[in-house]
Amino acid sequence: MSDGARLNDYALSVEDVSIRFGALQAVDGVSLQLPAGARHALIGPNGAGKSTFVGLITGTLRPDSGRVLLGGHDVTRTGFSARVRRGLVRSFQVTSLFAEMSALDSVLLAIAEREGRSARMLRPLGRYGAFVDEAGEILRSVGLIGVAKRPVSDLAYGQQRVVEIALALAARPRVLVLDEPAAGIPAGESTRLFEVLEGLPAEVALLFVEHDMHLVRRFARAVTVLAGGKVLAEGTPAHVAADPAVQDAYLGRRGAGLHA
Amino acid sequence: MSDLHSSISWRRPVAEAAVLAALAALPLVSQDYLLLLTQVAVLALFTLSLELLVGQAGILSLGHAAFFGIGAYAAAFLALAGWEEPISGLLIAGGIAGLAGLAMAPLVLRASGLTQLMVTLCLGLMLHEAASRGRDWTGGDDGLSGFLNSPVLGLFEFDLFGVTGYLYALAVLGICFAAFTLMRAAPFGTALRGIRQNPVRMAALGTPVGARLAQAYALSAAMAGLAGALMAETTQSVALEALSFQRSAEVLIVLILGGVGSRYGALIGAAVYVLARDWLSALSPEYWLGWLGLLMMAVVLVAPRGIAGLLARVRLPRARAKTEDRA
Repeated sequence: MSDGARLNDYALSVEDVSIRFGALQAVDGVSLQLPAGARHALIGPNGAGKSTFVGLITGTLRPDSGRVLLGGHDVTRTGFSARVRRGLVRSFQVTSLFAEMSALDSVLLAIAEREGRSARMLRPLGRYGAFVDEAGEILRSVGLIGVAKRPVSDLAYGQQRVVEIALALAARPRVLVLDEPAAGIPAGESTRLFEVLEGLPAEVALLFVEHDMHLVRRFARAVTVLAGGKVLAEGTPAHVAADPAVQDAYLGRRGAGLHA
Repeated sequence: MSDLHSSISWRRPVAEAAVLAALAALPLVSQDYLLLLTQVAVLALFTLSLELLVGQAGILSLGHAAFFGIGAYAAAFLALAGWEEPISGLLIAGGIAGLAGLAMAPLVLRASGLTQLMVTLCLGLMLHEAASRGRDWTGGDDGLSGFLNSPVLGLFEFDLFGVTGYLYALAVLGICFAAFTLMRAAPFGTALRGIRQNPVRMAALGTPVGARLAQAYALSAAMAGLAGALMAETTQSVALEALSFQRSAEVLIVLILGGVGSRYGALIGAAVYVLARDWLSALSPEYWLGWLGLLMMAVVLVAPRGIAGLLARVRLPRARAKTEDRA
């Protein structure tokens, strides 16, 4: 921790951010604090502003007002890729990979980037021995070692979702934003992904953007409910589930609820 | 975990060096085709620079002759101004083209797709027009000639038969091809292909995508400038045509013919194109351009990934398991 950051700073602190698109107030004064090791779910009906809020956190959007702090540093004006280099990493809801590359090369690329070596032109990427060792460890830990050299487009969808996580892990995040990590996975293929999520490093602050209540109940220790661009409720999963406003605005419409 | 580490394979570099050595020994056998083969080397280098741009980084260009021409004119200016040493002249010309690339990169990278194509086209046309008007500097339509470079390494004079020019061009192409090969396998080349396949994901890895693309653009421009300078030094003349749209289109055709994305595509494409042009123009002096067009169409229809892609398809089933991770 350098230049002014303190130990007790939140890993991610979003302070009262708002953004408007024309007549639509997409996000309206939302705050969110994630300490290191957080397991926090962001839920809400379609159109609640979840994706916009993720854009504000990750830097693809700039808020009209409010601040975003990363480990105590103001990154409100910092771009997307620069925030990644500061430890704020995201995965994508729709699988977003390098179709022609193998999982190994993809992870190697992520490591090379993290280590500031992505502009090197002389030594082949596959001959950075320490990188290959680390990529091997990551791929082993997520169960992809057997298909490490196959083009990712050849992998099953559930495996591709795991490559998403492996790429995020290779960046050594302090804050990891997982945008519907289980979206679109056939039931039989999700077991592995859940194991991987459970095995994520304890110190990483995790923000799930989720529709899947099963996943929220299983992983989240805290929940923020967005509706109409505002925070509707906050608290433990049980507390939020019991909130009548949440049941009204969100669960009432969706039928299947937080109740197990 | 050792199975993930790639072992060094010397087979390919050795085979490539053998081909280079055989080509270098050619003047001992025959000096008939040296001028033609020098043209092949120049065009291959120029095409390789476009491969870096299109095949690796995924940046489209219809104005790459701008950098070829800048390199060619820079080499001619240097020689006319009395700087006659060829190797330093070549490097300076390449450097100037690279700087021009760096200056134009923000304009080109701001756009994408068809708009990007338009920007490169317009930049190329503007430069061509400027060179055409600036007669005092460029000689306008007459081009520049009457300059002579001093002997290569102080030893080998540029001779009438083109032996020195041929070997010089071959050496420059060989060095640039080796550098391209290293760059392609290195983190930089892999990152460029990552950007081509998925720029958003690269940014999500923390890559400064714009900066990487600007570097690629400048490198490609420098290599195109080297090709232009090589042409100027080996032919001792520069025509306005070096900056023309036709040349930009030609190099794109050669790249597609040879195979985009392949290491050998630029080399194969340039050789086939120049030799076919020579052969057809002798066979049919009036209609050769039409025959050449038919040949190109036939190749593209039969081999959408170019000649190199066709060769790889023939070879791959046999060696697939072994080379997959290197492809």
